[in-house]
Amino acid sequence: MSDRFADDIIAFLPNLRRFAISLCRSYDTADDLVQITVERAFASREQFDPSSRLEAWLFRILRNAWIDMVRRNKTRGTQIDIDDAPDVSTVDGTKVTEDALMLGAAQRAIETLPENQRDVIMLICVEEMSYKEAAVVLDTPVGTIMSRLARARLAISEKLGINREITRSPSSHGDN
Amino acid sequence: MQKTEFTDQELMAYADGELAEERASELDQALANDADLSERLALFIDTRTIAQQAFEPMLQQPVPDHLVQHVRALEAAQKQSTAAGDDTVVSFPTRQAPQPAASSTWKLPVAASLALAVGLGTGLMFSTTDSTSVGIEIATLTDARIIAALDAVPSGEDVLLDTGERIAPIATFFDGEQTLCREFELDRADGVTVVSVACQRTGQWDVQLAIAAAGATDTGYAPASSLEALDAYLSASSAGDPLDPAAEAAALAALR
Repeated sequence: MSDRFADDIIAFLPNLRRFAISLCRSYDTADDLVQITVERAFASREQFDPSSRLEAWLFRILRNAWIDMVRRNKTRGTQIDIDDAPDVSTVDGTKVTEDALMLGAAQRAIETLPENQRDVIMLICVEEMSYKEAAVVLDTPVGTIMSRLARARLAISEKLGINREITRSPSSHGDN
Repeated sequence: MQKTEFTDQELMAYADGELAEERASELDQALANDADLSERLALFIDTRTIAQQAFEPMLQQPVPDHLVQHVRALEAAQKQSTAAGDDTVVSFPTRQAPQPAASSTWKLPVAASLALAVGLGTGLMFSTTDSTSVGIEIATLTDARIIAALDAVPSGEDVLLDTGERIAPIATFFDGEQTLCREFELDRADGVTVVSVACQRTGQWDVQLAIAAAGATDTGYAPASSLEALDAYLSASSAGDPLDPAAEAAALAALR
């Protein structure tokens, strides 16, 4: 008599943690955030619309929990212990391959993006959510999501030096 | 031939599988003979792949056990509150208090409505053996040394048992039914710390809750992360504020 809801949440914990870490840059805070998220998910379980994806719903709870946390504690900027965590780009701390270096550089490029660009990259490119789902999670219009996402990707490719000669499209949208 | 223009956002949407079908097939055709366009599109495909790969290893990092256990505990608590009266559910003494007292310091910020997290069923509590060790039999509280400690040791002090275990009463309080209860920790010789609450009923200490926390740290106290279940329990049972030392001494003296 295992509960599908709980099983699904457990299966999704790594993704929740990953997003939480990208939000708060601290493993400890990220775990607190994930814990608050699952508590809220259980408490408001009836509000979950089964025709939508559980992932999107959980991400939204997590993101709101983070906003609450920031409002309460103003933790942001003070906790940067992510640098103390094992570097995921090193393999057993021994041989760092070129690929791994690239991964590390890509990670840094994304982490140093402006927050609202980083969030759309994490949700859409990394977590593979749709534009619409990301718009709901971030409580932001789809158009804004898209313009942030496009800018974030241009910025990443620039930081990584992978941009080819890009002919900017004449009708490229500005900020909105 | 007129060249169709595509914006960055359209190329991006195409790379993400979000471009409207009609426009996507126009782009398909345009790509066939426009190298620049392909280059621009490649940027959006590549950045997606790069972002994905960069954060892929993070999914392999082990999720802390306490998070998984927390979900299971929430699941159990919810199951119990929906299936109240169902005998097959490991039951916790059902004394669901209506609302935690407003003055209670045991407030739980988020999950205040959750009854409890980890418990031992009453069935387990009395599955005694006549073993003299203080292993999991702590639940029965037949161990004279633990009973003696709960009867007499003030909160904040601890007692080393001759078996190498340490028992440390943390707080004494009355629950919503005015039953005298004590929260305490037991460090077992194997390094496991059990966080527990026992309440006085018919002259005995009944274990209400026992949580196996992570190994005792240097401080000898269970890490705070293991205590949320305890908080949930205290909140649900309308636990009153911890007694001050004088009130505690008086309450314990009254047991004798």
